Amino acid sequence: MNSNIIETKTIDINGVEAQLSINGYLDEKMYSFTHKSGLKVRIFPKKGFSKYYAIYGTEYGSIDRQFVVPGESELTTVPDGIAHYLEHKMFEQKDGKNAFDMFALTGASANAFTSFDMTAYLFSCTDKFYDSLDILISFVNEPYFTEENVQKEQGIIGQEIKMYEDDPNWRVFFNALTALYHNNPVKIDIAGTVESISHITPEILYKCYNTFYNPSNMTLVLVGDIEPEKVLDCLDKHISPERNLGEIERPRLTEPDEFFKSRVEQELMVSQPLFQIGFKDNTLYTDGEELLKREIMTDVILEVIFGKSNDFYMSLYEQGLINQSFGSESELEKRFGFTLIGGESKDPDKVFELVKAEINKTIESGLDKESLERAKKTTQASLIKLFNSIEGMGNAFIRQIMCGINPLALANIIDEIAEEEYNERLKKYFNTDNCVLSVVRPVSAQKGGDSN
Amino acid sequence: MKHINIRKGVDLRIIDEPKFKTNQISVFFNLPMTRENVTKQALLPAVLKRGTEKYPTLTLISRQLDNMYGAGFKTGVRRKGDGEAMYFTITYVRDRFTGTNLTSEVLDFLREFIFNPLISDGGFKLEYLDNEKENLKQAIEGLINDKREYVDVKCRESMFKDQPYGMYEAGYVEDLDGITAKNLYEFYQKTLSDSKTDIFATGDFDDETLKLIEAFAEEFSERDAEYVKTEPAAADPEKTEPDIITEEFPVTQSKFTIGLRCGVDPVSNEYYSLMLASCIFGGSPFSKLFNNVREKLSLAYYCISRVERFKSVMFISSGIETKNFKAAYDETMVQFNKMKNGEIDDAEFENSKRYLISSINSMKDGLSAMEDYYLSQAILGKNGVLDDLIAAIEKVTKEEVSAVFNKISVDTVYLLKGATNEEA
Repeated sequence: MNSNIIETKTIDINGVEAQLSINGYLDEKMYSFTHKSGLKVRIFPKKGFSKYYAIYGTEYGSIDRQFVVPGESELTTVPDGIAHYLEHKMFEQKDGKNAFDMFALTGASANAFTSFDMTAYLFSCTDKFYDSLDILISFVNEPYFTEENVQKEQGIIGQEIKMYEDDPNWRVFFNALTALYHNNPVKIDIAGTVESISHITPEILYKCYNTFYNPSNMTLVLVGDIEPEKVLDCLDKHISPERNLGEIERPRLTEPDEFFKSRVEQELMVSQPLFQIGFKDNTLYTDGEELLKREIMTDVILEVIFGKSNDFYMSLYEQGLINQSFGSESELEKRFGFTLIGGESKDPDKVFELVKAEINKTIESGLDKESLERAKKTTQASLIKLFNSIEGMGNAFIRQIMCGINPLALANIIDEIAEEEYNERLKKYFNTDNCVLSVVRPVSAQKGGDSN
Repeated sequence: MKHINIRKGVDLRIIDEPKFKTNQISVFFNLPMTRENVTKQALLPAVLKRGTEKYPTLTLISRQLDNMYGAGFKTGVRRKGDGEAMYFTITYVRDRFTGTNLTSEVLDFLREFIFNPLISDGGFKLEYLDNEKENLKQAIEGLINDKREYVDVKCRESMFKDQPYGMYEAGYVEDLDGITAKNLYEFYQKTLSDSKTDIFATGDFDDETLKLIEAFAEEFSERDAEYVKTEPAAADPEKTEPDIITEEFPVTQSKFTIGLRCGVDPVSNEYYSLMLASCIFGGSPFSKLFNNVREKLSLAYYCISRVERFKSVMFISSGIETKNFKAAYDETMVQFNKMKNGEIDDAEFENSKRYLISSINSMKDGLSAMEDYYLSQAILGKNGVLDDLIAAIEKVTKEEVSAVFNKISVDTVYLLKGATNEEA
C-alpha cells in the first residue's frame, strides 16, 4: 500500500479561520475549525452517499463522579449513573414533548449514548440535514428538567439497567473491570444502579449540565455532502460565545498499577462459560500521537498473537477450547486504559493459562516478523474500510478528535512505528503477573428451555 | 443494477456503486427449510469454511485473507420466509487502494470453498466435522444467552409448530448424531448442483473485472430450480383468544414477544401499507408504543414492533418488571386498537412516512443492505429498485393503514418471566 500524504491549508469560512486537510490517497477531506464559543468542529465531506450524519459530544461520562462546579470552590460528588440519566433527560422539551418529536418532522433518525468518558447526541438523515442539525444543536443547548419529568425516567432507566444485568456479555466485561481497578470509576456501571439513580434531582442535573455541556468541552463531527458555511450559521444561532467556560476542574484520577483482585466469577443463565482476561494500561493523561501509537501497537500485537492467522488461535480452536466468539478489544483513553481477551469456553481456566504462556513465549522470542507485517497490513485495511460507513466515521472520529488525533493521519503512524517499539510495548504492557480473569458460569441448578 | 441470467437456475447481479472503499462478491444457494435438513444447512457452511484443497487449515485460510488486504469472508444461512439462503460472502478493499487486481484473487478464493472443499474418503474431514458439530451445539444451546432473541425465537416456534417458518435456523441438537462426513458431503453436492443459485457483485468493477466475475458465474451448472415459495400467515378464524405461554427463568427482567398474523401478500401494494403501519405503531422513537408504553407509562426501556415481509408476521417485543406485564400488554392492545380504528393524527402519519423513507434511502449506503434487498426482490420475483419502494410508500393513505391493521390478528404471547427474589 502506498504511504499517505496529507496536505493542509488554511482557509476562511465566513470570517472564521479553518483548516482543510486532504488525504489524496484515501480521497478523503476534513475541515477543522473552532467556533467562537469554544466548540471544536470537524466536517468530513462525502459525495455520492445518500446519508448525512451528525454527532455532537461532550467529554463527560460515567467516570466524572467528582468535579468543581464553575463558580464554586468545593468538590461536588454526584450519584453514579448521572451522566447517562442526563443524556435521557436532555430530550425533554419545554412544551412537554421530546426531541424525537422534533426530529420526526425532518425524517431524521436520532439517538444518544453515554460511555465512560463521553456523552454524545446524534442523528442520521437523507434529507433536510440543516433543519435536523438545527434541532440537534438547539435541544442539546436547552435543558429542561422538572421534578416530574426527572421522576418519570426512573422506571425507563430502571428497565435499561435490568436488561444489562441479564446480559452475560456485559456482565463478564464489567466484572473484569471491577477486578482490574481499585479506585478508577471506570469500574462503576455506566447507568448506575436502581438505588443510585433514585437520588437524582433536577438540581443535580443542572449542576452537571452547566459544568460539562459548556461548548469548550464539546465536539461536533459531521459527515456527508455538507457546506461548512451553513454549519457556522446554525452554531451562531444557538451557541453564545459567553458560554465558553474554559477548562473544567476535575480531580486527577490515581490508580495503583497492580490489579484489585485476580478473578471474579458470576453465575447467570448461559449455556456455557464466558470469560474475559484483562490487562490494565495505567499510562494516564496522555493524548494525541502518543496515545494513538500505543493504541495501534496494542491492536497489531493482539492481532499477531491472537489473530486467526496465528497457530495459537488454530490450536485452541481445534482443541475445542474456543469458538468464533474468541477475540480481543482495547480501550485506551486519557483517564483509563484496558485490554480484554475473551469469548466462550468450556474451560476458561485452561484458556487463561495458555494465553499467559503464549504471551510469555512471544515476549521471549520477539514478535514474528512475517506476522507483524501481515498484521500491519490488515490493520491498515481496516482503517480504509472505516471510510465506507458514514456513521462508522462519525462514531470513531469524534473520540479520536477528543483525544487530539487526526483521523486522516492514522495509516501514516503505522509506517512510523519501528519493530523494537512493538516488542517494547508487548513486554511492558502484557505483564501476565498482573492480569485478571472474569468468568460468567451457567447457574448451578439451571432450568433449561424445553426443546419440544 | 444489472441482471444477467447466466443459465437456467443461475443468475448474476451487478450493483454498480463506486462510492465505497470495498467491493463485495456473494454466492447464495436458496434452500427450503425442512425439519430433515435444517440442521445440515446450518452445519454445512461452518464445515466448508474449515478447509479447502488449497487451504486445508484455518491458519492458511486466514493468512490468505490477510494477504488479500484483510478481506472479510463470511458464510452462513439467512432466513427468507419458509426458505433460507446459504451464503458465501467476501468483502475486500477496492483495487484502486491496493494497486493490484484483487478481484481475480478473491474469485479464486471463493472458487476454492465452493468447488474444492477438503475431502477424504468421500466425505468431509472428520475432525472438522466433529469440531463444528460441537460449535453448532453450543450455538443452539447458546440461544438462552440472549434473552431478547430467545423470546422472539420461542414465540415464532410456538406460532408455527412443525412448519418451516417455526424452525430455528441454527437447527436441533438431536439431529447432530445422524450427520456424517459422508452424508453431509452428499448433501452439499446436491446443494451445489441443484439449488437455485444467485451471484452478486456489488461495488466498482471495470470491464475486464466484470468478465472475470461472469466467467466465475458460468462455472455453476444448469439446474431446474426455483426459489422457495412462502405462504403468508393469515389470521386463524377459529382463534378468538391468543395463546399465552409463560416460561420462568432466573433473570431480573421479564420479557415478552407478541406474534401476530398479518395475512398480507408480500408482492401486493398492501404490503407497503403494512410497512408504514408497523412504523407508526412501533417502529420509531415517536411511535405509539414508544410514546405510550415507554414515555407515558414508564413501563419499559424498549417496546417495538417489526414486520417480516415474506411470512407476513408482526412481532412486538418489550422488557418489563414482572408485575407490570398486564399493564404493558393492555397498553399495547389499546394502541393496537387505535391503529385499527384509524386514530392516527396527521403529524404521526406524515412523520412516520418520512422516517421510513429515510431509512430506506439509507440502505443505499450499505453494500450488504443493498445486496440483501435485491436478493429478497429476486426471491419475490420483483424488479423494483429502492426508489420504487419509496414511491410506493409515498402513496399509502391513512385509510389503507388502518384497513391493513384490521386484517392483523394477535396469535401468540410468549412471556419469559423473571424468577428472582427481588420482586415483591
